[in-house]
This record gives sequence, C-alpha cells and structure tokens, in this order.
Amino acid sequence: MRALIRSRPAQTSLLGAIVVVGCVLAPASTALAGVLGPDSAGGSPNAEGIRSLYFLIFAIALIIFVGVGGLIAFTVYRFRARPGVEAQQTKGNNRLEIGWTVGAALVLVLISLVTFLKLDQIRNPPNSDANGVSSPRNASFTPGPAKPAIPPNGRSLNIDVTGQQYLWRYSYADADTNSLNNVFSYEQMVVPTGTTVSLRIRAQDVQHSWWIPDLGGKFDAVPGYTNYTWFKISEPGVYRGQCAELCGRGHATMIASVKAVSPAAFRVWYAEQKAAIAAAKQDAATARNALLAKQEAAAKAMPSEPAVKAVPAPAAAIDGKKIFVAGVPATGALACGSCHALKDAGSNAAVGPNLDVVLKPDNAAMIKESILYPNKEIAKGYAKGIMPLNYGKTLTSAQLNALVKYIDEAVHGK
Amino acid sequence: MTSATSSAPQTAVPEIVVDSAKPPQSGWLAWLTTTDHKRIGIMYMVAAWMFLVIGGVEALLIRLQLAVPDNTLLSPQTYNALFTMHGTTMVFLFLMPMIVGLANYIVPLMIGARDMAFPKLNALSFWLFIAGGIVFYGSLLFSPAECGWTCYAPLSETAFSPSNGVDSWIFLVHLTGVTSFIGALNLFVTITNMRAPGMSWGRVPLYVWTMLVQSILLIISIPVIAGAVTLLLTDRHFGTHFYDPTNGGSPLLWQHLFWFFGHPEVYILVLPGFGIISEILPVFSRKPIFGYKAIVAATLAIAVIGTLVWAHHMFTVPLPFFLLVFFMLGTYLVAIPTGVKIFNWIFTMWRGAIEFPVSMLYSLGFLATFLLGGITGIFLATFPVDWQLHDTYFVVAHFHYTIVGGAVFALMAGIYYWFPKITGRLLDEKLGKVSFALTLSGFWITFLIQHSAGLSGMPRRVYEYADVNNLGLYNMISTIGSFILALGVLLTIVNIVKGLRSGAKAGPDPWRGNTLEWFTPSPPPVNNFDVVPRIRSVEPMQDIRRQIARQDRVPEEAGTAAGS
Amino acid sequence: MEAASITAPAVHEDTHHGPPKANQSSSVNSEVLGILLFIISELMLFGAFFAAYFFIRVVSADQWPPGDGLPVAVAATNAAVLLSSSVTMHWTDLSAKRGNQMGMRVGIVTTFLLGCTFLFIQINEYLHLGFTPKTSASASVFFGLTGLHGAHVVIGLLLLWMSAVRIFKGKVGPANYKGLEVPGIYWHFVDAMWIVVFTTIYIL
Repeated sequence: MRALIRSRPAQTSLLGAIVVVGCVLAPASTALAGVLGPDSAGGSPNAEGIRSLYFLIFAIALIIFVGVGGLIAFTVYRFRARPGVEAQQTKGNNRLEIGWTVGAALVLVLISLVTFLKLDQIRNPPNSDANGVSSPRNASFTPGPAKPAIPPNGRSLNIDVTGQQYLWRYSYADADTNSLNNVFSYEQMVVPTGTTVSLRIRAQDVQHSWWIPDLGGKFDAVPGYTNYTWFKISEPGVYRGQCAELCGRGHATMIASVKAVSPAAFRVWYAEQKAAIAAAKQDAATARNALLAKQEAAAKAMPSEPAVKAVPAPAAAIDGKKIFVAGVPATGALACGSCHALKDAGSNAAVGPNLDVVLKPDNAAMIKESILYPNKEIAKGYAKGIMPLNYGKTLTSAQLNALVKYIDEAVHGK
Repeated sequence: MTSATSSAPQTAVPEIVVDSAKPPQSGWLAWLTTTDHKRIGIMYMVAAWMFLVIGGVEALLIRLQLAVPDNTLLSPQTYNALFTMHGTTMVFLFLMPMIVGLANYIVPLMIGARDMAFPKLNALSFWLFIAGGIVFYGSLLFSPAECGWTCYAPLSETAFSPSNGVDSWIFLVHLTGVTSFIGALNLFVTITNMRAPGMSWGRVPLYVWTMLVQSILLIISIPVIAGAVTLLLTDRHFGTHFYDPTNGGSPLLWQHLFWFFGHPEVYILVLPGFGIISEILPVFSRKPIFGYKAIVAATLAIAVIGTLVWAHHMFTVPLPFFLLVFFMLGTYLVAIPTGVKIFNWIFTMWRGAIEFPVSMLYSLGFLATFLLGGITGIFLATFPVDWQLHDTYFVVAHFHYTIVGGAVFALMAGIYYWFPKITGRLLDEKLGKVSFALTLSGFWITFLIQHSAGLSGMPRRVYEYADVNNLGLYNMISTIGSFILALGVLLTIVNIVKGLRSGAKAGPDPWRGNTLEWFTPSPPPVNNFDVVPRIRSVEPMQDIRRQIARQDRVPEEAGTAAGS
Repeated sequence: MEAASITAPAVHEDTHHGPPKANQSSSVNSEVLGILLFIISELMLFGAFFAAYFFIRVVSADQWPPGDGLPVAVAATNAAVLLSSSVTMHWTDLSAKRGNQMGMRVGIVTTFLLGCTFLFIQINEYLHLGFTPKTSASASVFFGLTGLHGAHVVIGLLLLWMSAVRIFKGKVGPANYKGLEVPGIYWHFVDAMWIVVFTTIYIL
C-alpha cells in the first residue's frame, strides 16, 4: 500500500482543483440553466428552491464524477501493461475499504442535510403579499389523506385542477358550493401575482401529471386520489408546461399555461368571468323556458292524436289487466282474454292454452318472450301460428311490460 | 483405481455397454429437442440478439421521429406503440434472456457442473420465452399496446386501451415471467447443489455470486408482477375492479405492484453485469480481485436495499411525507454498496499490468458509463429534485446510463470474453475495437445530451415537441448519436458472424483466465468436464498454473492439457 | 487425460460407465430445494393479492365485507376440512417412511377426498354469496384471494393425484420417497395459506 500513499499528493491537488471548478460552476448556474441544470427561472419560490438544491447536489456530484472518473483514467493509464513490470498481487485492504464505505456514507449524509435544509422553501407555501387575492374562507380545501398546500395564515387562492384526456380544467373555488357555478377555464389558468395559489389536483379518466417547470415540480393527477401543490408568482407573464405522465395518444398535446397578471387585473378578469357565467345561465334558462312553452303549445294543438303515440304515458298509469281483457283497439292489439283462460281476469276462453297452467313454471322474462315470439315454444296440444305475432309492434314497450307484470302476478300471486 | 475387482484386462480401453441407445440426433432437430445447458444458452443468446435488432430498429424510428421539432413522420399511435415495444423488448426479450442465456452457458462451467440441475425445465423455460416473444409481436397484426412498458392503470384498462395489444403485453409478461422464474430457480439450485468439490461459498466466482443473488431477486419479484398483470387481465376481461377508481379500486395499487417488481428488475439487469466485470477486470489486470468479500457483501446489500426502495419511482403521486423521506434515504443507501464496488474495481486495476483486449475496453466503458448513471441517480433519489426531473428526458438518460452502462456494456464485455469459449474461435480484435469506439461514443452522444433536454423541460413519451429552449438542437444531436451507436452494434454482429466463419482458433484458455470454464476445451464437450479439479481458491486456474510451474512446465500447457 | 495428472488422483472407476458422478455441494436435495423456492415465489404471488386487498379495503376504504356479510361458519368448516387434510397428508408421509403401503394408500385417498370436499364447499359458497366479482372492488378482491387459493388447491390436488398413481403402482416407499415428499410440502403450504386467507378475509 506504500504505492497508494505515494500518489496521494497528486490526488489531493486534483480534488482541490475540482472543488474550485465546482465552486465556480455553481454561481454560474443561471447561464448553465437548461444545459446542466433545470431551466426554470423567475417563477415561484419552490421552483427556485429546487433549482438551488439541484445545483448544490450538482457540485457534489461533479466532484465525485471527476474524482472517480479521473482516478479510473489515471489507474488505466498509469498501470497499463509494460514489459518488465509485474502486477502487484494484493487481494484487499481492510482499512482502505472501510474508508471508502464510510466516505460514501458521509457524502450521502451531506446530501441529505442539504436536502432537508432546502425542503421548507420547496414544500411550504409562504403567505400572499398584502395585495394578494384569496378565496373565500369556506372555499378552502378540506384536508383529506394528503395535506393541502396552504400558507401559514390560511389565505390563498384555491384552484381545482382537473386532468382529462387531453385537457386541463381549472375551477376557481368560491362561496357557491355548486362547482358548476364557479369561474372556470381550460388550458390557460389566470392568476394574480404576489398571491399564493393553492392547487388541488385530480384526474377524471387516466393519470396525468401537472407540471409547469418554472412554478415548481410535478404533481400527478391520479384518478381516485387528490394531490396538492402551490406556487406564488412575483412577475407577470405566461408560464408554460405540459402533462408529464403518459395519458394516451394526445399526451404530447396536453399543454398547460399559467398567465400571471396584477391582482387588480385579476379581479377584473374574475368579475368578468363571473358575470359571463351568470349571463350564460340566464340565457340557458330563457332558452329552456321557450322550448318548454313550444312543446306545450304543440301538445295542445294536436289533441286528437292518441296519447300512446305522442308522449308515452308513464308505466304506472298503464293497466296491464285492461290490456289483457280489452287489448289496444287503436293499434290493433287483440285482447289476450279472448283466446286464453286466466282466472284473475275472469276469462275462460279455450282457443289457446290456460295461462294459469302453462305459465306456472315461467318467469317474467319468459312470459314476455312468449308474447313476442309465440311460436318459439308451443304448449302441448296446440298448433303453431294461431296467436298473432304482432304484439311487439302493436304494444309500446311500457304497455308490454305492464301486461307481463300483470300476467306474472296473476299466475304466481303478488 | 478399483481395477482389482474388475475382470477387464489392464490394457483395454474402457468400454461402454448399453442395452439400447437412441442414436444422437443431428441437425436442427437436435437443437429443438436439446436439454444441454450450452445449447439452450446459445439459443437464448441468439434469440435475444434478434430481439435486440428489433428493439434497436424501434429505437432508431423513435429517434428519427424526434430528430426535428413538430415532426410528422410517425402518428401518435405508432409512436406510442413503438416506445412501448422498444422498452418491453429490451427488458423482457433482450436483456433478461441474454442474461439467462449467458449464465446458462457459463455458470455450470464455472462451478464445474455437467449441466443445470433441471435440464428439462431449462428447455421449457427457453421455449416459453420464445412463445412470449411471438405472443407480444403477434400484436403487430392487430394493434400493439400503447401504454409504455409500465402500462399504468387505468390507461391500460379496456376503457382507455380497448385494443388487445395490452393483452399481448400481459401474456408476454406472464410467459417471460415464468421463463425467468424457472431459470432463476434452476440456477439457484444448480449453484447451491452442483459446485465442484472444494468450492465453498468463499471460493465461488463473483459472477456466480451475482447470478445467485439475482436469482433470489427474480424469485421474489417476478410473482408480484405476474399477480399484478393477472389482476389487470381480470379487470379487462372479467369485469373486476382492482384498478378501477370509480368502483373502489386503486390505480396506485398497480404502481406499487409494478415497481415492487420494476425496481429490483433494475438490479436483476445490472447485477450480472457487475459479476461479469468482477471476472474480467482481475484477468486483464493480472491481479486477484480486490476485496472479494466486500464485493459479495455489497451484492447482497444492493439486493436487500434494492427490494425496499421501489416507491422512489412514485415521488410525484400523492404519498405521505414520511414515505417520501423513507424512500429517498433508502435509495441513498444503495449508493454505498455501489460505490464500494466501483472502488473495489478500480483498486483491482491499481498496480496491475493492464491489458486492453475488447472485453476489457467494454469493462472500462461500463465503469465510466455506470458511474455517471449512478451519480444522476442521486438527483432523482432526492424527491424535491425528482419533482422537477421525474418523467423527463433526464430520467430517460439516467436509466439508459444505468442499464446500457450496467448491463449492455457488461454483456458486450462478456460476449468478447467468452465467445472463444463458446465457439472455440476468437473475435477480430481490430474490428472489435472499432465497434467499441462507435458503440461507446454513440451511446454518450445519444444520451448525455438527453439530460439537458430533460432539464429544459422535455417530458418523456411525447411524439412531438415545440422548438423551445434548444430542444431541437439537443434532439438532433441525440438522433445522430443513436445512429453511431447502431453502427457500433452492427459491427459487433458482423464481428460475431465473421468470428464464427473464420475466427482464429482460440484454444481452451486464450486469456489466461482465472475460473474453471477455461479448464475445459473450447467449445466444451457435452459433459463439460471429464475431470473436475479440486478447488482451492477463487482462482482455480491460477492454482493449476502455479502447480504446473512448480512441476517445471510452461504455464500455457495447463489449458491445452485439459483439452486433450 | 494429462489434466488428471495435474490434479487429484484419477476419478474414473473402471466399473462405472459414463462420466463420474456429479458433486453434490449442499445437504438439501435439489427437488426439495426447488419446491421450497417455488413456495417462496407463491408467497410473493399471494403477497401481490394481499396488497390489492390492503389497498382496496384500507386505502380506498371500499365497503367491506362485500355484499351483506360473508358466511364465516362455512369458511371455518372449510378451514377444518383443509387442516385435517394436512394431518392425513402427514400420516401418508409417515407411512411412506415406514414402508406402510396400506397406510399410504388410505392416507393419500383421504387427503385427496378432503381437498375435493374443500373445493366443493367453496364453489357452493360462491353460488350463494349474492354478489359477483363485478359487484365492487372489494367483491373483486374477495374472489381474487379465495379464487387464487382455490386454484392452488386444484394444483395441489393434481400433484396429489400423481402421487396417488405412484403409490398405487407401488413405486413409493422409504427408499423412493421424493414423489410424495414434494407434493406433500406443497399441500401443507396450500393449507397454511388458507388459514391466512381465511383470517384476513372472513375474520378481520
């Protein structure tokens, strides 16, 4: 191991050089953004936090990479086979091995420490500025299994983000509990600057992932689950991103953007949207009423039309027994009772089989089938083709069902 | 000698007396019906390389589509199907069978066994793998799966993936899963029960150690993915609701089950690579491996920790905070044994007399590439940083560095190292060096720049992107690199074909190897060894050479003597 | 064979045709080791299904039990049936080790019939539950876990059938015992697994 010790000064100076390079690189991070580090600038404090954490780890990683890589290169060059040089038959060195195990562990402890120091800035939202906008108190997200990202004073602008194939929908929670009455938008979210915006992220169909690089990390929209994140923008502008979890063929086109405007401009926009929704609701109500009035007038204008054809009467109103006994003369449906015996209907005709007997083993579905397709199964002693085949046309389905129900109950008891 | 009890005359050649014997089958039928571990190993490797070519072509198509922004070469449907097939093929149809095939061939030779413990199961395992490949690529006839190799539910449910391509994928996972499981079981039993006399656990070659540990990982993780895809299958066709959130099911259940398999899978792919490197580095440094016990311990530690950190693939889904921290710190822990290995490998070379045949060059390529792959892993293990990098091209670059670096380059090294043993012929070193240079540089050009693409906001699995933040430039570089890489792999195939036809005769031990496979002729006879020497260290061939030297013979004769 | 002169004394025996016997480097028989590894993988497979149970019952908090209550008494009876089959299996094993042909035959038939009884009761239970795997996620899990176990009982019965055939052909005895030992280990595993399934599904 003497050889190792001998080469140590060279290594130390190498490491020293690397530290210098690392320290020079880290402050230059803005220039290197996008090539060596996340290309996210000027957005939100959490994105800034992630970026600075990235560059801290980058400096450590660079030292490790250049150090170990350099050691490999040096070893391979220095100890290439040369005539007359024998390989040294060492099998191990406990001190050295324990040394680099502990060394690796210490580096990881260092990285963990750096991470935990930066974590607060990345995870926990600050309060909004004094002129920030916030949702009404009762529109705050109720904490579920996951914790909403709410600033210390509890005042944030709360927006519901819903992913669906291949679109993002944003709904601005307000005092109205019916979310259909909330201000909403697709694709582009409008938010005020200086305001902590808290997002509740959900999915409607498959999994999506909410990601605006400048405004912090990704948060998956998982159907059946709720995810939360936040951002706070200081500079007006448009921040772009896109869905980051494969969601189908349109995944690449599922874009999202956040437009930050001044709080005053936001309030104006919000009021406009709210007014537009109210106006749209008013329009819809007017149109609906007009349509109803038109239908009513049409119904009055044609009183002679049989009720069966115009509007099917509700099922409850149809008397199955009446159809059995009298048929439906208007459409040419013959009365069952004129051919079949059924005790409950007081009929004892004998053209067809006695229903009390032959239908005993049948259930409602079979009875229905026997009415619609009488020739499928013929009772013993009776001929095919005697019973009309047109009940499927002469009876509406509601009438048919009522008839089946009646026969079923008459044969089997209620 | 028990000749005293035998009536045979002293001079007679031993005679084999049998009542009836089937004539040995010849030609292709012999290959189809074989249970010989060497033939099965070769069939595995040949089939795996066919799938490598298919998966490689898919990769090139992907790179062509991404070469320029807003490209319209491929439709989104084709593109999604391509990356699904590429990932699935490379993992299940190239790497896994290639690893199983190589181990099938080499491990019994290394431990002085005559075959695997269960030769018939071994053949079954191979044919199931072929069936899996056919079932999966059969979906080309209708509509291949488009859900990525991860096939996240509910995207893979019938409501969103009505095509039967997903079912093909499910059956592929079932069939290759059984393949891997049987292979692992077989290998485990072989290694446990069939080692040469004297080969105690402290003298088992490191490649065999990694295969043993890899087998355990497979036995533990394969059933979980098999269960997961079975539940997906019943969801798709029998109306169950395991992953269906609208009926009380859970999409996260899929992710946990998938990654419980998926993360150990990474180690399943790279541990054999670690083993191969641990064999090759000492041979060409002409030194014993540095810290044998530490490397074995590190292998075990990687396996144990690697099984417990799966949810670092899920940092962006709703998880409780303590789990984020747990999985981050757990993942950091993997770096310690990995680092230990890297230092052990470097110090195996330290003060050596390093030679540079192609297999050694690939081993060095492995070291450099895997080093960067491991380091970028630290960024991704840090969950706040992962929030930014997750599902971007940074991740794509990272896992290609670990898997191509950790597994493919190591396997390439293994191919150049063991090809003479398998075929009896040497590969062309010059052509090999050219192909190595192209492969390594092509790989680095393709994937190094992809880190930047990811850092500039390019998500993975998108068929088109806008030309912002230099994405067009990055992707063009990457595409050019991919074609260089493809050329390198192609030259290796040319080299293999050339070597088979006209390679120089290798002899039993062309590299002056350390382990037992170099004791037998190249290619080895059906029974592998007529005589298995007693093992006295991790490097039985060195012992034999030393013994011969003591008997005043030239060292080279040991190999040739064994072959006669 | 010059190599032979390098190493230990020659291994060939003139009375033995073919290559020398392979070295056995552990004390565990290969088949037994194989079935133990297989059981480990089976445990992991059940583990995946239990994970589904956990996610659906605890994380997603789907209604449990599915339908209006599970027939605990029926399942408990079934547990008793399966447990007693383990006892008879053990008896079959002992008989084989002692070379008791009659005991082996009665033992294996009884074990087989008890397994069939279990399946019969299980299928009957399915028919009278009042819900199907399509009803809800928790119903899917109920059928998933009990069905997975049922499938294992079927595999176990097939193995037992093969053992029974060997026994009735007189091929199993104290010296030739693997053909019974391996299915036996598997059968005990299937029985033990039911206790776990039964506890989590019907009792907890």
